[in-house]
Amino acid sequence: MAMIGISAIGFLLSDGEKRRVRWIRAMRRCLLRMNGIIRYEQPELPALLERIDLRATPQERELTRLLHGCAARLRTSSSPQLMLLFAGETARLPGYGVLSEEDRSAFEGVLAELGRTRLPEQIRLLDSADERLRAREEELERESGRRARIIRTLGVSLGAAAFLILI
Amino acid sequence: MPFREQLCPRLPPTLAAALDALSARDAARLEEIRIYVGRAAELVFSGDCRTTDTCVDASQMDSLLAALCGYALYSCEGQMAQGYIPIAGGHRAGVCGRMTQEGGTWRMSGVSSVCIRISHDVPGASGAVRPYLLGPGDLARRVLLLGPPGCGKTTVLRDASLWLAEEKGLRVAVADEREELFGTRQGLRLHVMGGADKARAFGMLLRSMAPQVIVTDEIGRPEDADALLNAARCGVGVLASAHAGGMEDAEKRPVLRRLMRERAFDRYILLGRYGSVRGVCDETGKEMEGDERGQLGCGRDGDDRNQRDRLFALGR
Repeated sequence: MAMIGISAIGFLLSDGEKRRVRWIRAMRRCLLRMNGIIRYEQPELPALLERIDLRATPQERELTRLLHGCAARLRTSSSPQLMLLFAGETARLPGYGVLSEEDRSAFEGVLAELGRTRLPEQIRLLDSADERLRAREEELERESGRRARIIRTLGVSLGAAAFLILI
Repeated sequence: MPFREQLCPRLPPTLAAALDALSARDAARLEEIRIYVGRAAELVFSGDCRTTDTCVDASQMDSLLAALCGYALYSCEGQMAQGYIPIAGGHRAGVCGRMTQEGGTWRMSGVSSVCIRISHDVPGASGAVRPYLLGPGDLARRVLLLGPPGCGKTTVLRDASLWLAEEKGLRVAVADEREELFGTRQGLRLHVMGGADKARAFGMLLRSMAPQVIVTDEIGRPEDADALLNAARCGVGVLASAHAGGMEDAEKRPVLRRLMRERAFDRYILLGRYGSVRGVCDETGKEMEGDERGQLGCGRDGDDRNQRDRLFALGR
């Protein structure tokens, strides 16, 4: 029972981290896609966001939907700020809340600067954000692995101790 | 899509409201929107000019530029360095400011004024020039339209391209360097190469699209002349335009003088306001008379006004 209980706790913790990692991967794929589109097509900002069409995971589909919503608002608003539009869209998405402030800042920082500078600076911005997110992803995976090992060890130890006591 | 739907989301709210308040007739007559930093914006119609209540400061001008660029400065930095921003729908915003050079690249900053030139689709605008576009056997001629800025050359080219493609059934290719002729419009029986310089566009269109006529706007650079001469020697019809008050002005421009000397064009058509024809010259630049010219407007003010009224009636 102790093993099962501790394993359940461990599962819940790691599930939250796995979702964070999936969101970060979705953001990285989004940045990669933006990099290619900006570099070779240089479309207007609403068109760029509409061209993002990621569908491999639920997080990618959600991110696509958020960006498409921002694109629609960009076309109809006067003096819109993309980052504010994105914040408004994510406020209605509970799943996005699994991300920490640090996770979000790399991606949202890109949105704040998207379209405001020239092509070389835009590419550098996207590359820099991708590097930050890659580092976050690796850090989360390391932490997740370490936590999983601790919980597994703890579960086995407690379970063995309980067994010995019962005997 | 009406130009108001394309432009109003990009303009300051007060100016967008002024545009929305225009009657249908005034909207059809609107040619330009001129916006200055620290001065009231103006709406320029054919024949008059109205001052609006909108006055932008420097930061509002930056916001306007961002909107005109589609919130993506990277998408039109090259065009801005040439002094304009293409806007979806074939409109063009000319920008004036301070040019700086960095490592061989020109950049514009501190924009102080913008002139948004409205593109109107006017069916029948090329009616006066159509008799001169095709030769015996309905083969496309090589024709150059000459006229001062604002006389409607681009509108005539656009309508003529569609007429040649859809009514005459020719294979028409368009080198739309500034994306003013057709922009990103779809569903046309045309091959439109947008954004590329004329030399590159002509080469690609000739090799890949087997056109019977190539259309392009605003010949002015030596490279344009080279591309045109190459196309003309390939047995392809050409329809192009250039800024000039008349044949005398054209001969003073080195690029046009070279084209005239090398007999690049079969016909030179001198345009008056609203696409009316003031004169037609042959390949040597000699004015043609009588039956050779066909039915013409003669460039007097009365004929220009008749053409204007006819076109506005068609355009509604």
